Amino acid sequence: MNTEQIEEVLRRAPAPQPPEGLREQLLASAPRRGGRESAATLETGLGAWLRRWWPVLLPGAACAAMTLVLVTQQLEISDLRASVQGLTPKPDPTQALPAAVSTGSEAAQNSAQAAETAEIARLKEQVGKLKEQLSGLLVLQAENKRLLAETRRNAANSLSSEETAALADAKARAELIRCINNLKQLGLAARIWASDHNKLTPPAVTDMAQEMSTPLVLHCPADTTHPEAKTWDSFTADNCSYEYLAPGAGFNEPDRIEFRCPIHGSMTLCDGSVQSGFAKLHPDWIIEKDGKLYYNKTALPAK
Amino acid sequence: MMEMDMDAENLARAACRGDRQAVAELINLFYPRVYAFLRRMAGHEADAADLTQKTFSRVWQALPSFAERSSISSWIHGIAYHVYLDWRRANSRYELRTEVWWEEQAAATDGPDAQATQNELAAALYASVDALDTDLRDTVHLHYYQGLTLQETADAMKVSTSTVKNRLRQALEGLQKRLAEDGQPAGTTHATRTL
Repeated sequence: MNTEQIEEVLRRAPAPQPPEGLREQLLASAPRRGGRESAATLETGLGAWLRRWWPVLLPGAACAAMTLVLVTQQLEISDLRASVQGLTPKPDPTQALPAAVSTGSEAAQNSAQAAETAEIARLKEQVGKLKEQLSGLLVLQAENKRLLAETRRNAANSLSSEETAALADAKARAELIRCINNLKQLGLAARIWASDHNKLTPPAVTDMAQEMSTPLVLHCPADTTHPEAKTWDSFTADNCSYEYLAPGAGFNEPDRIEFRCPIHGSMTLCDGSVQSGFAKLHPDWIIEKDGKLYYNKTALPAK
Repeated sequence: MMEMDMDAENLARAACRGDRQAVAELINLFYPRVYAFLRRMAGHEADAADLTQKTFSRVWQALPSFAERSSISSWIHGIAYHVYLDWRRANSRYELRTEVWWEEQAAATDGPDAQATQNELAAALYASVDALDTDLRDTVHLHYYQGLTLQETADAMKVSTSTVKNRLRQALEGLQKRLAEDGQPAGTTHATRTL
């Protein structure tokens, strides 16, 4: 049987008949009553709304209740303070006046003024000392910041040339691996598209957008000339790092080169495999026939 | 199909407003398909009837939250599919349908004796579907047996359409290979023996 015959037989699969009484059971267990009462049974009313939102409503109600209690307590406290202040005894001017008159000596007044003057002078002196300390603190803070920045600069410059080279190498390898992964995904997407379109690859990469999870797979991580497009809405041909070399190719050309990364020289073949970097390392392994590029396996060194 | 979906969605809205008649219409419209789907998947009449009741119970509970992002058909099938998955996990059992059951189902269809061999071949094919991996088998059930579109199948299984396409392609290749291995030469339409 071919695929179409199998599909036809599958579509004509017999449907088992439901047992007697199932429909009545379903009707019996369906929401009863009509109109508004039925709506409540279908959980569209207030009950359903409460059931859905009670995890939020419960903490919210608890917070509101606690806030209400706190506000009430604060009001009571302020009332009590006001009443306590009202109960504090006030100096009686009718008693103070005779005392002043009775002491009334100028010597006492003079000594009080002298004491106040001395206190003011002492406070001014303390203010001056505090101002000096504050200015010292500001200087120390600025120095601290300068030292911190210098320490960071030294730490950044402390990497040796070998360490810097190793870091750059690791970064380049990571980009190469991501590039190969992109090419693998592109090859897979093209094969899925082809399986739905007479086993022919798409005329353009944008035609297989449905088969790709994101347009980022069309961007080589080492590519700085083409900007990345994160959505298909913003995607244009300028966002594609890879060369698409096999539009309309069939499954009968497994060695034909389908995608090529101009930066790393890696390639996807029409059989879905990815060859890493050989376009740069072994350009002689690529041959051209009728304007199409092929991977020349005969040029491979004998094992 | 589109007109039926529109009607069903109007019924769903009416049922959501509390229209008892719409509830009954929805049951009439979908319970045979849901039962057939669960009967094929679960393998027992009693289990299938029980799962059908659970499915509709969940439908009534979830109907107010039906956002119409997908068709009502794929939405109900999605519920039925997940009811079945819950049942399978809870019972830790899955009795593979025997070929005899499929032969009975195939033989129950109307047809002259001349169709006997075709029925036999069809029964063997249906039994082969049940021997596929679960993901492939479930996709075949929803797409071919239940008649859902690719998009509806993807909505019901909560996967992408490309995944559905890929699974169907793998399933068809597997079935074709199995038929060929069991002595059914490619291109013929008559069965000589069952699988």
